[in-house]
Amino acid sequence: MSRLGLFRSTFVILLLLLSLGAASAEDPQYGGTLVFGAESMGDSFDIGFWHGFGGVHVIDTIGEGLVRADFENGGALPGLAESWEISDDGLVYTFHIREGMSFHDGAPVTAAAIVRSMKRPINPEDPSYIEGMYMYGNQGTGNWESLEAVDDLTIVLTLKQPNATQLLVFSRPDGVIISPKALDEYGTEVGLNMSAAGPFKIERFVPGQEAVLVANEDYWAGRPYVDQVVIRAFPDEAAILAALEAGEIDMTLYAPFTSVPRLQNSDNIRVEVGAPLVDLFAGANVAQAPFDNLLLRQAVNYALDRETLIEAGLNGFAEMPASLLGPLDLGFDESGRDVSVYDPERAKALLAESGMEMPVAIELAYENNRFWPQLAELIAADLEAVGFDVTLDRLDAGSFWGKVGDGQTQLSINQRSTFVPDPHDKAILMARAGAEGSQTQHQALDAADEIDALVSAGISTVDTMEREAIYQEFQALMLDQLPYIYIGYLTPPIFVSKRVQNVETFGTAGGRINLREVWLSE
Amino acid sequence: MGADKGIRARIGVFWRRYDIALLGGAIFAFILLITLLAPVVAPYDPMARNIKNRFATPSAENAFGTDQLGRDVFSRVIYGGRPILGASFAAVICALAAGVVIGVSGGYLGGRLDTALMRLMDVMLSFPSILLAILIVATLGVGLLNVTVAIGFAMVPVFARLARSVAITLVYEEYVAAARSLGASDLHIIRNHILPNMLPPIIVQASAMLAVAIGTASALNFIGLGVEPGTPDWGMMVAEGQRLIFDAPHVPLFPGLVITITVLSVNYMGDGLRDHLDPKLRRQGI
Amino acid sequence: MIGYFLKRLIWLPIVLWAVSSLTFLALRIVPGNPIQTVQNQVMDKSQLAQVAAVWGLDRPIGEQYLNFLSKLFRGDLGLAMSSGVPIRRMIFERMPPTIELAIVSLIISTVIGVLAGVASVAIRNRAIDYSVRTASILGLSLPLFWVGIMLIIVFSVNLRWAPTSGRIGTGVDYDVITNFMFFDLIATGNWAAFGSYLRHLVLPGVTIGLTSAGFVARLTRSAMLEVMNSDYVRTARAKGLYERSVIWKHAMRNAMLPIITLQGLQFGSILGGAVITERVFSYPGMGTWLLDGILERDYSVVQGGIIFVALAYVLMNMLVDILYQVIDPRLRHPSR
Repeated sequence: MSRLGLFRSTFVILLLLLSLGAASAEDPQYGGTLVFGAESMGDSFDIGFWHGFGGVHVIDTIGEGLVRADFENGGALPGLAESWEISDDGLVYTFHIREGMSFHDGAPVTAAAIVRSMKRPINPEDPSYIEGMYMYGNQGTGNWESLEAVDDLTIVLTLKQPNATQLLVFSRPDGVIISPKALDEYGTEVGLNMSAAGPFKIERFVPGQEAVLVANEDYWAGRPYVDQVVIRAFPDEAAILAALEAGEIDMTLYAPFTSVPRLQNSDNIRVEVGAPLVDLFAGANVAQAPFDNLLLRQAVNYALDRETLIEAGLNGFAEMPASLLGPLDLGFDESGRDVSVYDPERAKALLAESGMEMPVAIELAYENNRFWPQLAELIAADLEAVGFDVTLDRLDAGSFWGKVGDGQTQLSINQRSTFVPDPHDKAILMARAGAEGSQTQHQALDAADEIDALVSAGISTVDTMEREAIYQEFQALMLDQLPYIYIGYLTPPIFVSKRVQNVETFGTAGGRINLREVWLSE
Repeated sequence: MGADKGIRARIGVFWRRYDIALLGGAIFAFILLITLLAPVVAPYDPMARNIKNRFATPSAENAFGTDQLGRDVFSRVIYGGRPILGASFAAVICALAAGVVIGVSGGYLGGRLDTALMRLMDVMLSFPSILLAILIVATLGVGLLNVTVAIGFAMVPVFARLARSVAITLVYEEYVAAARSLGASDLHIIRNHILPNMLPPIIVQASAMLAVAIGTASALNFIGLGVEPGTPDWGMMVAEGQRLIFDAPHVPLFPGLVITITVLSVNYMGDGLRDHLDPKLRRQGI
Repeated sequence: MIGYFLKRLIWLPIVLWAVSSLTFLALRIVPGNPIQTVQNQVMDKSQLAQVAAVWGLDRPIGEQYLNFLSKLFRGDLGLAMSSGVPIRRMIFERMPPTIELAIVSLIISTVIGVLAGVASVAIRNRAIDYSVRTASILGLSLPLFWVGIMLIIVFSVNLRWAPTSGRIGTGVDYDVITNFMFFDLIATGNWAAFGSYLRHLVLPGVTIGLTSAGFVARLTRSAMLEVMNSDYVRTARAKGLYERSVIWKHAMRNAMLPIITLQGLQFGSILGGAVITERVFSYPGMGTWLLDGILERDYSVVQGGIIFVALAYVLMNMLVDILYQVIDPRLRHPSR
C-alpha cells in the first residue's frame, strides 16, 4: 500500500475515532503535566538565534507573533493581531491588536511594545541588541519601508516591494513578540529570561536539560488545557525510547521509527502519523561533473526504488513524492508523481545515452545521524544497480554543511521542513541569491534565471490564483531540470502516551509543535 | 616413562601458572583465525541485503539473525573484526612506540627537555581525547586509517607519562647508578636496564589501552565517525544497533559480545605476559 | 618545593596558550563554519554575509587569531555564535554539573576498584581473583554508551529505581547559587531536591566509574602483588606480624601513587570527555555542550570551553604532583 494511501486511511480512521470519542462525550479536561521529549535543548531562547528543535519547541509553546500559521489549510490565523488589512498593492499592512492582553511578566501588550520587539534586530540602540542575530533574517526587515504604532492598538507596516509571505513569517519562531520589560531588564541575556505572550510561560529553564512551562492563565484565547509542559532533551535515540517506556515522557517526535510496530501494540503508547510537510530529497551539484549532465540526474531519478526506500529506510513513514512542493502546499502539482518514479530500465538507457564510461563514479554525501545512513546505503544500492559506482561520504553535521556550502558535494541527501505553510518556504531553495552556497549550485542551470524569476514572482505576486500558476510552472521547470531528485514526503510518527488527547499532527510534523489544544485524560 | 612424567609435570606447573593467559591466548588465536579466514567461514556475503528479511530473529539460516537491511549478522560479525582490531592494534602500537620514546627521553635525561616534553603531553592530555578524535576524523574524513590516527594520537601521552614515571624511579636505582659509574653509555643503560624493567607495566598498560582503543573506536561510530559506511565492523554494528536494543536486540548484542570476549582474551594474555616478564614475580613463582 | 610549584605555575599560561591556539587552528582546518551550519535556516542570504562580518570570519586567519588572542588576554571569551549567550555564562551553567559527575564517578571507581583489587589478592582464592580481573577488564572494554543504555534498561525502565536522564527531576524546585547543586541544596536545606539530585547522579556516575574501576583494580592488584612478594613483607610475615595490617600499610602506600596519577588524569578526561555518558543520560554538562559546539562549528563555544577544561586539567595535575611529593619524597625535584 502506498504511503499516501496509508496516510489517508489513518486519517480517516482518526476522524472516525474522533467522532466516536465525540459520541462517548469525553470532554477535554484541564490539568496535568505533559512531558515532551526533544532531541536537544538550547542554551537560550533568544529568537535571534537557532537553538535546535528543542529550543524551537519551547519558543513555539511560549511565544506568539502578530499572527499564527494554519498548517492544515495554509494561511494565517489571528495571533496578537485580531485582524488586519492589506492594501491592494500589497504594500501597506494595518494590524489591529487585541485589547487587554499582557506579557508573561505583566507588561501590557501594546502596539508600541510590539513595534519595539519587531525592530529589535534593526535597532542597535536597543539594550537587548546583539550583533549577528541571524534568525531575524527571516522576518523580511530589509524590505520594510516603515513600521509604526499609529495608536495603542494599531500598527502600520509599509513595505518597499510586495511580499506574499510577509504575513506568515510573523508566525515563525523569530516572529515572536518579546515583552519590553524583559528587553530592558535582561538586555542581551533576554534569551535566558524570555517573556512573551503565548499560551505558556517559562517557570524554570535549565540550559541543556529542560524548560518547565506553566499555563498562561491570561492567554487571549483562554488558558490551555494542561497545567504544565516540560520540554526535556534526550540527545540519544535509545535513551528517548527508554524514557518513553519508563513513562517519563508523554510525547515525542524523536524516537526511532523502527520501534513503531512494537509501540503500537503497547498498553500505554499510541503512535499518530504526521502530515506530509517535510521533503526528503537528493540535491545534485549541477555546477560540476558529473551532475552538470541532465541525463545523469534523470538516471538517478529513475533509479530510485522509492517504495523500498520508504519501507526499509523510513519504516514506511513517508508518502511517494511529486516535486519540491508538498501535497499541502499552495499550487501543488500532482503530475510530478509521474516523473518521480522507479524505472531502472529507463535509468540504464539514460546512462547509456550519456556516453559516460560505465560505471559512472559518483559521491553521495549525507549526515551521520537519524535515518540518513540507512537511506544512503539503500540509495547507493539502487544507483549501483543501474550503472553508477557510489562512494558513500558520511559526514558530521558541520562537515556536511561545510562541504555543501563550498560546492564540493556531488549528490547529497537532505530534507526541507515546512516552517511556514507557504510554498516559498521550499521554493526559496532555488533563489539565485545564495545559490553558490547551496546544495545544487543551481546558478549553473540553463534555466537558472528563469527559475529565479519564478521564485521572485512567487513572493512579489499577491494574488493567490496567480501565485498558484507561478508555482505550478516552477514545479514543472524543476522536474524538467531536476536539480533535486525527490525521495518522499516524510509523514513522521508522533509518539504519545495514551492519555494525551487531541494531538495536532500538522505543524507538529513540520517541527512546530502546538500544545494549545492538547489535554490529558486520566 | 620418567621423562614423560617430567614433561607432564612441567606442563602441569606451566598450566597452573599461566592457565588464564593460555586460555586467553587460545580464544584470541581462534578469533584471529576466524577473522583472517572470514571469506571461507562466513555463510553469506556480509554486505548482501535482503530487505524482505529484515530484523529476522536468530534461526537455522541466520544464526545471529538479520539487521535493519536484512544482512546476515553472523557473517557480519565474522568479517567485522578486521577493521576494528586492525585499527585498535595499530593505534596502540604506534602510541606505545611514540610514548616510550618521549617518556624515556624525558625521564632519563631530565632537565629542560623533560619539562618541555611533559608540558607538551599536558597540552595533548588537557584536550579531551574524544573531542580531539572527533576533530581529527572530521578533518581527515571517515575511514579506518583516520580512526587509527585519531585513537593513537590521543593515547601517546598516556604511554609517555607511564614510561617517564618508571624511568624516573629507575634512574635512582643502585644498579643504574653503578652502571653509569662504570662508564656505560646512556643508550646502553636505557637498552639494558631501563627498557626491560619498563616492559611489564607497559605491557599491562598496552593490553588495557587496547580495550580503551576498541571502546573509543565504537564510540566514534556511535557519534557517526568511524569506518566507511556499510563496512561490517563490530564497533559500527554495536553503535548503529544501539537504537534497536528494544526492538531487535540481537543486532547489537552479538557484536557487543564478541568485542567483550576479544578484549578479555587480550587482557588475560597481557597479564600472563607481565607475570612472565616481571623478574620479581617470576622469582616467586606466582 | 615551593620553588618547584612556582615553576609549574609559570607553565600554566603557556599550556593554556598552546591549547587554545591548537583549538583555534583545529577549528579552522575542520571543514564547515558557523555560518554554513545555519545557512539553511535563514532565508535572506545577505544577512549571512553580515553575520560573518560581525564574527570577523571574513578577515584573514592571522588577523582572526590575533583578535582572538587579544580578547582572550583581556578575559573576554565572547558570545556563543549559535545562541548569542556569553561563554562565561555557559561555563557557569555547564561546568559544575560535569565536575560533580567527575567527582562522583571517581569516588565510585576508587572504592570499587581498591576493594576489588585488594580482595583479589588478599583472599587467596583463584575464583575471586579471576572474577575480579574479568570484571575489571569488562569495565574497560564495554563501550560506554552500551553500559549506559543497559543500566537505563535495567534500573530505569524495568526496576524504576533511578530516572533515565537529566541532572534533577522535572518540576523539582530549587535555588541556584553556585550551580554546584551539592552545595546549593545543602545551603538552602532543600532535602527533597537533594534526594532527586543524588538519584540522577547514580547511573551516569556508575557508568563512568565502572570503566575506571577496572583500571584502579588492576593497579591495586599489581601493587599488592609486588608488596606481598617483597622481601620485607616476607620477613614481616615470618616474624608473625598480623597479615592484614601489613597488606594495608605497605600495599596501599605502594598502590597510592599510580592510583592518584590515574584518577587525576581521569578527572581531567571526564571534564571534557564524558561526551558519551552525558549524551546517553541527557546530562547537561560540558561534554554534550562541547560536542554540540564542534558539530555546529561554534568557534567561540569550543575555544572557550576547551580553555576551561584545560585549566581544570592542569590545576588537577599540579595537585597530583604535589600529592606525589608528599607521599614519596624520593621524587622531589629531579634536579639533574
